[in-house]
Amino acid sequence: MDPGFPVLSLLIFLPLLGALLIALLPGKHTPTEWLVQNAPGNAVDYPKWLALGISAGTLIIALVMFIIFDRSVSGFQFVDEFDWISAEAVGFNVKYAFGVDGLSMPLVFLTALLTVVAVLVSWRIDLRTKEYFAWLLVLETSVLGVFTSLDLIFFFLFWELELVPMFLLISIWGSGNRNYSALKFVLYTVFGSAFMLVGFLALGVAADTFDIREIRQDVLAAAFLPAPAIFAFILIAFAIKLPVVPLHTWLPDAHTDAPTAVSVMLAGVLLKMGGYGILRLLFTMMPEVGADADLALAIIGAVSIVYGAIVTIRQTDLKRLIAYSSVSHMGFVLLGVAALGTTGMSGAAMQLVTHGLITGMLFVMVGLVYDRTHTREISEMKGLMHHIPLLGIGMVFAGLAGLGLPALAGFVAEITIFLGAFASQTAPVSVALLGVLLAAAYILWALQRTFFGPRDEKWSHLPDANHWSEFTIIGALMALIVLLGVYPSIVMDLLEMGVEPIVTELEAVVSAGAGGG
Amino acid sequence: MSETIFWVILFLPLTAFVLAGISALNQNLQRQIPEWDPSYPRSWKPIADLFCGPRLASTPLIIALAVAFLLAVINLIDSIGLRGLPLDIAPHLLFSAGDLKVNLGVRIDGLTSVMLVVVTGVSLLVQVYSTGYMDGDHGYRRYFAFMALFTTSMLGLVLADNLLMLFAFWELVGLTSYLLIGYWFHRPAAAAAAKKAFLVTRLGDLGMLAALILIYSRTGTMDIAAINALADHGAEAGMFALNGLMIGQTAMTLFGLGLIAGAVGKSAQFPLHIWLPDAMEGPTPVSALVHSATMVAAGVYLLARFFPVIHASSTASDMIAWIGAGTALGAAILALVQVDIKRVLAYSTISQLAYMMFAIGVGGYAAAVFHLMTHAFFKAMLFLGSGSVNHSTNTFDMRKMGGLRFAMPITFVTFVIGTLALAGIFPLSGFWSKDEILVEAWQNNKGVFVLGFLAAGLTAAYMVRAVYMTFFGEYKGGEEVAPGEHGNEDPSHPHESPRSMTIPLIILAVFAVLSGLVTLGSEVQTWVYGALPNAEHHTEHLPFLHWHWGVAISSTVFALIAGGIAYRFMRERDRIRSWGVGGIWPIPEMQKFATELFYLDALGEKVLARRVFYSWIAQASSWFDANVVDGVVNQAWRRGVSVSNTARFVQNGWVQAGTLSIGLGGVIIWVAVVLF
Repeated sequence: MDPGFPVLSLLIFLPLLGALLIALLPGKHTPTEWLVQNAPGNAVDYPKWLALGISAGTLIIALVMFIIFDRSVSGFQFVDEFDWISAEAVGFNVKYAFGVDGLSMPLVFLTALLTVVAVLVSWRIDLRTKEYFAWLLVLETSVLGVFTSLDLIFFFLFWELELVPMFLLISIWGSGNRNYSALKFVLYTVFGSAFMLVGFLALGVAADTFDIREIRQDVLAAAFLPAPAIFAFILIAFAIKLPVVPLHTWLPDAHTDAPTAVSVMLAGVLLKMGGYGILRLLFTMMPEVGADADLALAIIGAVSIVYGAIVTIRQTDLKRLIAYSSVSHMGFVLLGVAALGTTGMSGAAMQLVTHGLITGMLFVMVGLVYDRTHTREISEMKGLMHHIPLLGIGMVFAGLAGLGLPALAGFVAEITIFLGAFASQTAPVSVALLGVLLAAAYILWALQRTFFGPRDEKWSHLPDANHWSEFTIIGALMALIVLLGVYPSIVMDLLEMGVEPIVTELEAVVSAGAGGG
Repeated sequence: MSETIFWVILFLPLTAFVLAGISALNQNLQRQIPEWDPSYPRSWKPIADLFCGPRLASTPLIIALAVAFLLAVINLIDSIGLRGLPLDIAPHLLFSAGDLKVNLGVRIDGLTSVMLVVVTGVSLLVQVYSTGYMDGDHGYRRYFAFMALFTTSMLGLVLADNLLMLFAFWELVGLTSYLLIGYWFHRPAAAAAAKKAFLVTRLGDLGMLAALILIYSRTGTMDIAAINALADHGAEAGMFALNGLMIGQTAMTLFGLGLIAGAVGKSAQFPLHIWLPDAMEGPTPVSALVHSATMVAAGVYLLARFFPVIHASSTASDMIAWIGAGTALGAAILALVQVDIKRVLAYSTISQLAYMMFAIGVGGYAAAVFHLMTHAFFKAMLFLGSGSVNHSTNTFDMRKMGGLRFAMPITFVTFVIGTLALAGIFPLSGFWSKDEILVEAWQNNKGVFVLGFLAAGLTAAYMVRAVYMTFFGEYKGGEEVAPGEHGNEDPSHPHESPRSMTIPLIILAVFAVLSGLVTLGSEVQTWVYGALPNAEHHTEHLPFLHWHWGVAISSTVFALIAGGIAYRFMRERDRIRSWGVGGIWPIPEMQKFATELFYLDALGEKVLARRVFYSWIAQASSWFDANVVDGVVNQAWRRGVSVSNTARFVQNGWVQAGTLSIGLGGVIIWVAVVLF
């Protein structure tokens, strides 16, 4: 699909421009006492409306791209590219190259959607709103950049760029032990990035290009590191991001102390960068090493699923509980990838999308509840359903989606992964099945303790969902989760298209390996 | 019949669910409109009011189910004409991912046709009853929304033509069961019971999920007809092979065992039976529909659906036969000591489902399906009868009832009819179907027969005891309405329930009496057997009615004797108590063992779930996570900082120190150059 117009660059950089705009325009108009008396309601808060407009505009562009995306041809579409750095002599050639294919298109849409959700869920923020919304939009640009980069250097740049807004958003607008959590998040990620950069340089220098489309297995012979080492180096960064056990402990801290919108972005799209990277970079560029690593990946995945779920059950903070459940759910991605087949990999990609929606919604619900109760301790809540039934319905719905109920999105991804991976990874899949039971246990028990039970008059003053922004978020996310649950084809077909080339190459190297050895 | 009809049957209650859901949401939205807020948009309030009436929740559902029931009956007549053979309906592709093709499709044969009639019929009557029983309850709309969703899911379950679709609806049925058990979520017991039900059944569902994954990865299909044909074809040299599909004997056995695990969970068989008695925390019509007549019978349906698979492996068929036989007897013993009328019926349900289970195990396919049908009618009626009693006494505790036969004549008569049907007294429906099962057991497995026979006697005994405590003797006054609850304001004067409740009772009573007679019609078995592959082979030498005078007479006489003893005991129980006997069991320890449910509940919930899993495994894991996994990270961080702090000493910014370092460095380099 070539629209004859750099629509993808517009999509990526629109939020960044918006952030600049917000930074340059005046912030919230502080109402004088006179205004407060005579004009009830807040004065117009420019930053949040601007942020909403820009993120909505981005979403519309993403939606249009999603619709006009040509589902009949595989490969990258909407490609914008030109040479950025051409140092032929030293083999350092960087391209400004962006494009989307079946794998990245749904993730781009998800990012645009969840940014709107993040803006809306921040509607009641009144601390330094100008900076807050500007950073949120910078975050959007960086994530979109990661999902669309076709050049390793740009991939790395956007990967690192995301840390700046995240650090500031958590440490300024967070709660609890926010400085510790923000720093831990950044240090942990940078630790991984250092390895990733080495891997990227090894690949790029050996191939004379950093173009993801061109680097393939055969260049590895010339690299200054052995192929498994490059694979492992890059994998470390993605494994931290995903995250997998035992590299996951930054996640609960970051989630718990981050503001709601940041938790939504973190769980909804930032973790997806890890899974996306594994598919897009590792298995596309180094299928042979990937094919050898399948059992290790499957075992790590199964351990993450079961261990993550067991630890989740013991959590006493509702937000931390959801955060730990992400560890468990992201294990499915590794399991699906380890299947090395179209079914399993499509399922893994689907899990990225559905988990983004479902866990995004769970964090939204927890955030909205926290806005009212000002506590996240499960033991302090009881019978909330009596007082905030609409939020309760949203929470129960999101919880049920999280435990993989059929007709909701999560089930499709999980069952596809199981069906795809069982033949090649029998033992890890059998262990991972336990995760299905454990997920039901931690979610239903959490719901029982917080929303059910007798009326607690302590909470009788709580207002239920009552703002249009809340209704919009909850309604839209519910609708999408049901849509993907009952008619997964709209996304699954794209994802299948995206992973098919990877699987074709995998099968080629596996059969070549079998034939040769 | 064209395929469209079946999608209509499925979508009718789904539409009712949407309407009831809108109504329920509106109720919550309206609650929020602050009366004093002038800026609130009033313009749509009349429209909102339109969608808020409680009848919007119940009436569409009843209409939808009435239509669906009619369609199901027409289909049943068609199906009998076709000797129950499956209609040829191609499935539709829902989505694909690589080789995986997930289809939506309906399979219509004799078995489906019976189930459609049972589900829509019982559901219709229960919904009519519910309009009376739930009248005035705050969550009336939500109740009907859940009920509509339940009926939709149950219909989807019986219509499914492939295992994945069946599993999806199977899980949805579990969800609605969860929602309905926890309907009164303000009661901690209800919330806990709902969670327990979901988790225990999901434990069984893991087996079913594993079975699904196994069969797909071995044969590449999830189509029920294809799998059954493969299993029915038989194994040669340890391999089942047909039409290009292949699977080994071991895998087939594991597949069967996985299905059995799912069925054992859903149908509350030992050892996963512990959720069903707790599920009685839900509203009584829910117990009638979900937890006796339809959903819990889904396990039996599943095994009947995969009958050739179960019988492709003697391990699987023996296992389900013995689980069933043991559960039938054990649950009947427990039913004998319950004081809560719904719990008596709950254990009775477990016991009766167990009959169907061992019937499947000993090869009594038609007998199991037949008992499923008759049981659905009379057990639904018994539950609704207990609800009717509760409606005027506010309690389910039989010790607070008694003497209600005069105050509630319709309830009394229908309840007695249900009791006779359940006890298997000639010529009520339960007699025919239970007799069929016992004959099958007698012919194929004498040990199973003995257990089933004993359970039949106990069935009569516990029902007579329940009827006596509820309807005979003196009225003990019921129970006052609990604060904040909804109920009869004057329990000291019990009264008959409204017509919306008694009419369904009467209709179900008619079915309970007559539905057994369908065995006399010669086509029944042919038509149920039509669902199996190779149907002609099964029905060729079929006796249209398994009649065995010895079994029929001995089981009836045994039931009558056991019932008579129970009646005697109840009449004389004050005198018997004065001999120092605590309950129906002569030894106090035995009585305690039974009232403590053989300690199985405690073992499962308190020991395994709470102690072993939560306090040991989960606690150890979370300690490990916080102190080891994260501890390493924090230690590394702290060490890093302390190393930096030490190293910082060098970077102190003093000119003298800098000069000194340069000098020292120069010396070191000079020495190095000179030496090497």
